[in-house]
Amino acid sequence: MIFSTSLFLVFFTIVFAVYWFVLGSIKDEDTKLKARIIFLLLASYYFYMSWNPIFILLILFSTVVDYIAGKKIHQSSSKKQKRLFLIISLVTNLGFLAYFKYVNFFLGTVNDVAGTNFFVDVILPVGISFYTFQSMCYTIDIYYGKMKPSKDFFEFSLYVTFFPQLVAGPIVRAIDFIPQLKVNQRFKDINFQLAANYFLLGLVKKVVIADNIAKFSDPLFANPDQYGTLSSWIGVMSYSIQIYCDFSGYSDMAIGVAALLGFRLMENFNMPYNATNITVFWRKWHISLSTWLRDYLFIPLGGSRVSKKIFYYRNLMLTMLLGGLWHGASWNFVVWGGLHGAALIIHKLYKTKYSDNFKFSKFGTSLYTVSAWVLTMIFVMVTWVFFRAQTFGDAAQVLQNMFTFQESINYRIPIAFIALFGITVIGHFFGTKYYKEVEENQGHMFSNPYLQGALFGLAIFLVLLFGSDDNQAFIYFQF
Amino acid sequence: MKKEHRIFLIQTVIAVALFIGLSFTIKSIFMSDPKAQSYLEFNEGIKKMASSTTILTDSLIAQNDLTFDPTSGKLMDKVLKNLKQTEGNKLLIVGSSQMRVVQGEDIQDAYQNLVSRKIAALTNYNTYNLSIGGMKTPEKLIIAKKGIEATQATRLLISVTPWDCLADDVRPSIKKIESKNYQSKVKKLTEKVDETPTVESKPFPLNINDNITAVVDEAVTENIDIYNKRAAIKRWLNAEIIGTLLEIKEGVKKETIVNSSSPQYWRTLNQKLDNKSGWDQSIAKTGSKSLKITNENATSAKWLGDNIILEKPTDTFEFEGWSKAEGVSKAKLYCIDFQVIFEDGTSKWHYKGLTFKKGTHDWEKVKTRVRFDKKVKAIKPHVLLYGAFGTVWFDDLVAKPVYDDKVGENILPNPSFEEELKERPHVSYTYNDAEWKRIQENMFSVIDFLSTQKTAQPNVLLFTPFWHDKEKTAYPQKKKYNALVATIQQYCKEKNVVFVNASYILTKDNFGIYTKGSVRDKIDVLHFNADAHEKLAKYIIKELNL
Repeated sequence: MIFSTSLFLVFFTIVFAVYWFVLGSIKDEDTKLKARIIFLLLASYYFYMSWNPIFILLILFSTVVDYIAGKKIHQSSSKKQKRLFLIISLVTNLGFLAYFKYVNFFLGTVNDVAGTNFFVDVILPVGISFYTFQSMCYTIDIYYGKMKPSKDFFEFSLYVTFFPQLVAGPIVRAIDFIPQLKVNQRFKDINFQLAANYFLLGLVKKVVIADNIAKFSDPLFANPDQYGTLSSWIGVMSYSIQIYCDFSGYSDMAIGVAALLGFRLMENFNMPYNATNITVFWRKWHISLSTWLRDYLFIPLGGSRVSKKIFYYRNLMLTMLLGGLWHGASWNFVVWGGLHGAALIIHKLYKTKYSDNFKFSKFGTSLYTVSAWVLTMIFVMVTWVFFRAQTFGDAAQVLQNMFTFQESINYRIPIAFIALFGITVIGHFFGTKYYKEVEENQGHMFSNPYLQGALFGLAIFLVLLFGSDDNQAFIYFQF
Repeated sequence: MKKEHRIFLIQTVIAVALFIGLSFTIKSIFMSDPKAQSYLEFNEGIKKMASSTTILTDSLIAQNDLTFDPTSGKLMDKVLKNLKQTEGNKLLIVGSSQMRVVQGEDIQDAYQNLVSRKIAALTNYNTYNLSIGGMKTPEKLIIAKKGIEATQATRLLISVTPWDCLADDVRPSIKKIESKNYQSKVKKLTEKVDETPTVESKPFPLNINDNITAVVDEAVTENIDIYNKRAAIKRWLNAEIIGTLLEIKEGVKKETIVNSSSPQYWRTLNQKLDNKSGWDQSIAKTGSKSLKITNENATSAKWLGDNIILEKPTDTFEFEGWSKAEGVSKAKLYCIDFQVIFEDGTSKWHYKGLTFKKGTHDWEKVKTRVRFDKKVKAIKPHVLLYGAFGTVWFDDLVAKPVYDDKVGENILPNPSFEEELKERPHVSYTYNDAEWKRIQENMFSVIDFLSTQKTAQPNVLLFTPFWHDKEKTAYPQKKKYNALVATIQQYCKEKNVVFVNASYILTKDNFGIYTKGSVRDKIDVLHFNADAHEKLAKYIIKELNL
């Protein structure tokens, strides 16, 4: 069940009505809270089972193990015992992830080296990378004493399976989310404007932009040898827009849906294609994953507080390599992560040695900023080629098309591409200039409410008219 | 009510008003266009086609006439449950697309000419054809087993080719029937068949979700007009924005003489005319024939050839050619264009000095000599009319490589377009040793299966026909193929399975031509026409003495 379908509309209407009006009428606050948690949990299980009913058992098992492990870690007096239970939790989560997501990747690598032919027929459970990361950070935070375990199994279960962000994030931290489950949300506190803004914006990104612009990238990556330089650049730019609008669109819709139930999820993207260097890009792209990797991988590895700079760079590279592998079981993703890791290291080196010493005139500063932005975007686009291509050979072919100036057979830049590209650029511009933060850390919204209302109408019109005819699954469901 | 909620209500009103306003405006503009009706009809046609196999299946069930699978296996469960029930001799045929595709025929008549229907018409056998396109060995075995259960067939015939014995995939819709029992579904002739559409049984909550989706989608389609018409409006908008669907100019609108053949080497893409009608036999610069492009839309219309690899690379060429035009609008590109492939693998398009004037003009010549900065190993010729409408003719193209200032011969095949296509290239299949071994193993498993089925008469393994003559064959490794035939024949004998080898019974005329994709214009070596289905049916009847 994906957000952009009529099925979700019906499902959510029922959930919304029962949550606010049926359960909201319960007088006793404790009973109301409990009933709402159990109801949302059942709704979340239904939501997940709509993809593949059997895999709900996997989430249940993972939930039980982490719930018990969390309690045991907290109760254990010795460090050794705490560590043991943490390891049980990590091994369970990573074990599932390794089996369901990476087993054939490992076997494929073994086959390539040893000439064998091992293969396991396994289906990747949707969202497994997201909910295992959520589950793991719960036990890790308890281990480091950052939080206490949840006393209520249903409460913890809902944290793991909360349907708006269950299958494609944002990755929520227990420390942020569980406290929200301890208070009864009030209908009058719902910020409908904010929720509608996020949901409709996400819907336009996904259904109007991502699904339609895919038509310019899919053919390139299906037959890269048949395209010239111009077509290849259009294809790669299209994919860059597609992946951003697809993934951030889903995150936006998740934030909107959660807000309608009174919950706040962290923003996952913040105009990443405005970044003028790769470090800033990673502060704006998939924020919930990059901060997760920072807190639970990079810092435990030693982070930047190490005796020698080389260890800092090693930690950075390892984090990005594993971050790449998180996205998919293929060497392409490892290369993608590695390239970003290398770019981050180069940027750190450059920043330390040069850029802080530069002093420019106003014009010079503008020129420098524009050049830095162009360079960053070209790098990001080039790395998306590895992310999207099926094989290294395909990636190499696309890059050869892009950089060896082979004349394109397609002499005309498609109007639809120009329109979708334009919408994305204008969206970034408006987003940066006119979106304001709502209350404290609640999200962003247009500063003029009436213009915002008009944009809602335009969004509904665009979705109904230009929505892609075939419902494409979200790219990030596969991760 | 909180201030924020009040504002949201106002926003909602604005949003709804704007949505209705925009929808009404776009729909009104669309409907006021005289072409709107044709877009709507086109859209309806597409919708109908999307559900045609389901409609066809249901209508065959209703007439108790379902003897083949019209759904490419998507509704195999439903097909098996509702096969026509008969008595007497029953031949069940299971094969791949060869046994259900009738090349080059009208779809309405095609099914009447299927090999299975021909056998039924010419013998006292009732035939069932459960062949599906792209069927692999495990799928054949599953369907054959379930088909016997459902039909109580007295004889089973499985057709094979090396091509469909190579892979082992099983489609989910076929996998699903594996565990089901169709024995109980067998009904007597007099018994009424199940006419109610079968609802696919899915586990909870997928079954509920499907029903909800169907109800909501129907409600949205019926009540939100803009949604219902959106595909037609989108197509119309797209055409209007890029300036297509312009009226054909009077001067351009001429009767086109359709030839029975096409020019040797050249083929056309993205225009109104095809390879036959675009080969103009009444207008020419020299001789009697030329290549014609009629562009009603501003698309990228062209004629093109294949790569020509030079015997010796060179960096210099002389290109020339002639063209005549009628009513060519301001075109993006109206020219002769060569894709030049260099030794280092890079390529370039060269049309400098080879563009023609727009508007209307008689035969006009372009000629250029060009020196590239790298050596060229191959060229691919094109003649183009991009981003414009009108009609143009091309004739007498020249591409001469220059070696040490010495101009060579014209290397373009059929440069004056006078030669008719004599021999089409065809699709061929070659396999390595491991693949031939796999093919044989799969065929053995089919024979094992046939030998263990308790039918009233011996079961049959059929080698289906493919494109074959002395020089050209679908399987160029003739020795390997013949060795396979001998091995399979021997194994069939051992297992008491009848072997019918129809590999070579058809001629070139029986096979179709691909009209799309990278294989366009090549001979489709596996699929044959109605005559061939009849030939095959008669051959099987003779071999099996039916």
